[in-house]
Formats: sequence, structure tokens, C-alpha cells
Amino acid sequence: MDKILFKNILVYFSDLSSKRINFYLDSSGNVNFLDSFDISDYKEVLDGEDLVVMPLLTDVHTHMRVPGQEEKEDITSGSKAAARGGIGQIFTMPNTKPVVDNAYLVDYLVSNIDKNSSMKIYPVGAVSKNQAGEELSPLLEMKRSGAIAFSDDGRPITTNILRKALIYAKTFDGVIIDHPEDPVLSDGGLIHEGRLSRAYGIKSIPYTSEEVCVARDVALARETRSRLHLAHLSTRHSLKYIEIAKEEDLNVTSEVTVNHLIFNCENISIFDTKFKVNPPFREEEDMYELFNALKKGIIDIICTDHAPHTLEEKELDYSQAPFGTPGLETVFAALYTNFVMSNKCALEDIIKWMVVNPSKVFSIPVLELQNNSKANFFIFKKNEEFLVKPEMFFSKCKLSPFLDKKLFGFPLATFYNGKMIYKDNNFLQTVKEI
Amino acid sequence: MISHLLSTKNLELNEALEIFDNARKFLEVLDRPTKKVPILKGKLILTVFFEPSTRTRTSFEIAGKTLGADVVNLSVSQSSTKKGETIKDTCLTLNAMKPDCIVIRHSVSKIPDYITNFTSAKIVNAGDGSNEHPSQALLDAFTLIQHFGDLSGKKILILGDVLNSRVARSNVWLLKKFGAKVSLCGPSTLVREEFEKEWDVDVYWDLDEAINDADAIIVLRIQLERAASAWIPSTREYSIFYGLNSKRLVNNNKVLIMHPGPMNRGLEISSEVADSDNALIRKQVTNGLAIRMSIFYHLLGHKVDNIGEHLDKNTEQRGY
Repeated sequence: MDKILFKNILVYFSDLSSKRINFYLDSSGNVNFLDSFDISDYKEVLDGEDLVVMPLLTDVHTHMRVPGQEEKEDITSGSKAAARGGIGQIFTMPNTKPVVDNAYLVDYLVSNIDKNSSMKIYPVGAVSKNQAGEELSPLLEMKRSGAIAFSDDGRPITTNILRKALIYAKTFDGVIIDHPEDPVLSDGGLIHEGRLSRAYGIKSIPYTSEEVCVARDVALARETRSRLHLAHLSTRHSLKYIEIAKEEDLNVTSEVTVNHLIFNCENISIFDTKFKVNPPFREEEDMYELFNALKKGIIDIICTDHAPHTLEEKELDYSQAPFGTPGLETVFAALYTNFVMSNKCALEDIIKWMVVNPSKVFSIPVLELQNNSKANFFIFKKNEEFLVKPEMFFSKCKLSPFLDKKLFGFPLATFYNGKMIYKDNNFLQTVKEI
Repeated sequence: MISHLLSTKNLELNEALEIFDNARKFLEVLDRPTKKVPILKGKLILTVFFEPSTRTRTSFEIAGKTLGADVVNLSVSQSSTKKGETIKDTCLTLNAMKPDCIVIRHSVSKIPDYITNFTSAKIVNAGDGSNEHPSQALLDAFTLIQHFGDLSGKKILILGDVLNSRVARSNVWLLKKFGAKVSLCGPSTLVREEFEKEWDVDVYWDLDEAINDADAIIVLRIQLERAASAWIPSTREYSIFYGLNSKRLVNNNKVLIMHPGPMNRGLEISSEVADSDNALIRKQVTNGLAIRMSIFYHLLGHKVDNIGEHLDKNTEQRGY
């Protein structure tokens, strides 16, 4: 890479400070802060009037579909999608075929990631063997192989196994992630139970399906005093249990997907399979309350729950199409457009929810711009609008709920460990993506 | 003019009235010794039932044939579609056979809307999941209007498993358009309290209270094979508290009784009530033919001629 000068660029840091600085990237991808400079020294100069440099985001909830469902996504396509979204670290869930429930599969995943990923991907191991909820998986052995946390994602951890896992995880200070849903109450439901499900007579998922599971989970976290993380909250009714848990200083954290902050069952086309997700999009009030919970610190993290499927699967009718929608590419642009630009939150808040808190909860490093270090950041341009098109997606799944919508703040380039892992076609003309 | 008959929710009142006007004329045809008005000669109607049905399918078939259309019945087993072909492919295949109209029944709500994307044929919803059954509601409203002339202010009670009933939903949306006072009655699991506000209807959990001052009762079938059984403790208990029998009607012996069929005699309705003079259950079936003829005529008929001319022409040709 030729020397690139970043001139007078607004840089945000993980301590939530920001300042305009000059720096250049040298040929080996190192960042060098500058007090003064001579433009003629540089092959290309980026003038930073509207440009913003951000720390790399962390997405604690994705599905890379490896092993066994590579027709939906693989490590190469998934990590490219994440790079396009300004992300530098992702967690991949174990509900694959076969389920990642032993150290050999974690080893395989790690070697596949080492070979094919442009960024850091952390495997999450299954809590129970084959996610059947009957026997505990070898958590400690999986952790030694590189599992970051444990979850039976896609379904809730059975009560007995959750209690055992929480107690066992104390041995190694592990985090158990639960997908809070009572499958008996969900009972094959397709959409949120409410006005629309009643009007159309559609099998539905009541909010209590999540709430009763959150209540159970908090009770077990209280008993065991172990570390519990609740995945993809969807209803305002879950929040009071987490609020109480935080007041009691329990080790309970939680996340919400970016989509559940933007969509609800009234502002989408409910029969469009792009919007078929689990948990389902609920009511407008839930959407607002989930965002308020982030601001109050009741919810800690925003994730994508990037859940890609093939076109063939998502083109089935809405009752047969699988749950899940992609989200890696659009997460930052969607948050920036919907919340930062409308002054509902600041860029610093996004950094808190997608950089600082993930790093705290899961004890992983923060990746950001640092002098004399390998470049770790993404850069975007304020006020630059993009029409979301399938061609923008590196994910194998291009059926985004944001298709044909206009979003601001798409990353123009992403650098991970000194390498440029994503570059917009019209950005940085002299350099080539690595 | 409607391009498909998918629901009563989106049906305009004047469209329903037009369907009724022509249905009245078709009723006469059904009483003729030769029941044929070849208005739809050369039109191909496919009935595609992903769920077993005898009476609705037969009614559509007779309606189409009486109008001279070619009616071909396909029973598509849902288990075979699960094995391979998607509903989209099934529809694209059927569409390639150039039907003018597809009558579809499916166990999933809104599938008839979905398939309009994959065919140029007119779609008639013959029942989709628990969502709608518009031709049934049209024939019910038609039958009620035959008796009352005007439905405005009439208290029409829908009794039974409203939660899982497409007949109930289509009737609620349609009868309200005619100004009827729609009431629902059943146990609170099957008649949810939210219906009152969301649907702007009256909800009763007590049958005697509900029957009081009702002008007509549409009794719904308790679908033993379906979800209803999960929401009631037993059919015996249901029958004791919500079964319609003559004792219940002592204080309101003028009320009209309807049932979409097939009936579970002794469960949701006693034989005495089903066979009483106030019961319009057989009339509903005949009216159903006329309504379905009218639906086909609306969707497929030549709009240049009016129906009266067709009927007259046929009368002349046959020398009546």
C-alpha cells in the first residue's frame, strides 16, 4: 500500500473522546500521527472535512453457517460482509450442521477462520450436546480450543442444563448466552401475537414466550451468581427483570438486534419473508422501549443476529420460509441513519453499544486507531447517501430488510490489523483492496 | 371492479351488492329444469384444494359448470408439496395451463394473496387458514338479506370457535359493512377479549346473554381436527355451555339459525335446532351456488353484455 495521508479527520475513540487529527498509513499498514505534513510526500490525500474514523465494531451475534450450511454463508463471504459493515470482530453461533458442541469442531472452525477470514471471528460453542438440552457439552475443552462463550442459540437452553452450565461456567469465568423463548408458548407461531395475528388468524408468538424465559434466566443467574447474557430481546416486558438483575448487581447482560430497534409489526409488510425473524418484530412501543433500555444501560449491546438463508429458502411462502435476515453490511448505516442523524443518540453511544460493551462483557480487545500500531478502523462520510441494493452485499444472502431504502453512513473503507479489508469502489483511487 | 376475490375486508359494499343482485337472477336459473346458462363457455376454472373439502369444492364446481365453464378439480396433497414443489412452482405450472380462474383453498392464511404474484388467472379464495372464506360470508349475508331485507342494526351473533374460524372473520368484516351489529360468543379462549376493540364488535362469554335480542345466529363448527381442541377442556364441556339447543332459544324463538356446515350435531348445535323452521342451513347451500355463480360472472363474465340479456337470450333459445 502506498502512503496515504488522512488530513484533518474526525476520529472517535473507545474512551468516547473524539478529535480532528492528521495521520498517515505507511506501506505496511501502520498508523502514524502527524503534527505537520507536506502533501507532496503522499500518493493520495484524504481531506477530512466530512470524513469520520471509527473504532471497528463488534457483532456478538451472527451465523456464519459453518460447518455444514455453506450454501447460506461461509467464512469468506461472512467476513467480507462484516468488513463492508465496519465490523472487525464477530461471534458465530453453533447451531450449524453438525452443531458445534465439541472441541474438534471448534478446532476446525478456528482453522477455517484462520485460513479464510479477513478479521477476527470467535466461535460460540453449544451448551448442550447437539443442542438437545439433555447433556452438557465439554465447555472447558471448547474454551481451550477458542470458544468465546456458550449458547444453544436458535432455541432456549433447557432449565436443567442452563442451571448446570451456569454453575460449571464459574470454573472458568465463562459466559452463557441464552436465547430466551418458551417453545411451548411459541408453538409454531409465525408472527408476533397481536392485532395482526388476530385479524388474519395466523399462528403467533406471544410476548410472554420471551418474558417467562427471561424471568427464569434471571432467577437462575441470581441463584448461581454466574455470568449470563440474554440474546436478541424483542419485548418491553422482558426489561423489568433485567433492570432488577442489574440493580441487584447480578452478572446479567443483554443485547438487542439493530432490526428490532427499527422495525415493528406495523411498519413492515408482515408477509414479506425478508421480515420473518425470530423473535418476531413486535409492537411500536416495544421498539421504542428497547431503545430506551439501551440508553438507560438496561440493554448493553446492539448486535445483528445476521442469519443468512438461500434465496430459494426465503422465496418460499411466509409460513415455510426460515426465520432470519442478514444484517452485517447494514448495521452501522442503519443505526447512523435512524438514530444518530435524528439526534436520538450520539456516535459515542453506538461506540458504547457496539465496541466498548461487547469488549467488557466478553473480555475481548478494542480495535481502534492507535499511533504506531497496525490500522484498525473504518471510515465513513457524513451526508453520503446510499440506495441499498443487492449488489452491495458480500453476504450470500442479499435479501436485506433495508433493500431499496436509502441509508447514510455506509463505511467507505475498513482496515483490520493494518490491512484494508473493504474499500468502496469510489474511494481511495490509488490503492487496491487486499 | 374486483380483480380477485381474496377477502371481504377489501370488498366494497357496492361490489357485494352487485354480486347479490346477480345471485338473485342466478337463483332462478337453478330452479329451471335445464340448469345451464353458458355465459362462461370456453373459460377454464381450476379448483386447487390443498386441504380436503367436499362441499365447498362441489359448490364451486357446480357453479362454474352451470355457467358453462370447464371446471377441473385438483387435489394437491400438502404433504407432497412439503416434499418438493413450492407453492410458487405449483402456481407457475398451473398458470401455464392457461386457466382463467383458480379457486384455491390452503391451510395457511394469505396464501391466495401470495399466489396472485405467480398467475394471471383470477384468484378466488375458498378458505385460507384461519383468515378468510369470502364466498361463505357472501352467501351468509345474502341469506340474511333475503330474510331481513336490510341488515342495519340487526344483531347477528357468531357463536363458537372464532379464534380459528375463517368463516367468522369474513363474516365480521362483511356484516359490519352492511351495518349489522355483530356479536361474538364462545369461551374466552376462542373469543378473545381483544376482538371487541380490535374488530369493533360485542363479545359475550355467556351464551344466554348473547342470544337475548339476537336476530340471527351463525353457529360455527367446532373443528375437532384443528386447533380448537387445544383451547377447550372437552367437547362435552363446550356442548354444555355453548351448544345451541332449543332450551336456550325459549326466550328468543324467532331468531334465525345458520351454520356453514358440516355440522357436529349434538356438539355445537342440537338436531332439534338444526332441523327447526328457523334454520336456514339448507337454504345457505343453495344460495351458495348462486353466489358462487355470481362471483365467477363478476370475475370472468363479458362486461359488455349485462347479465339480464344473457338470461333472456337463453330463455328464448330454449323456447321458454
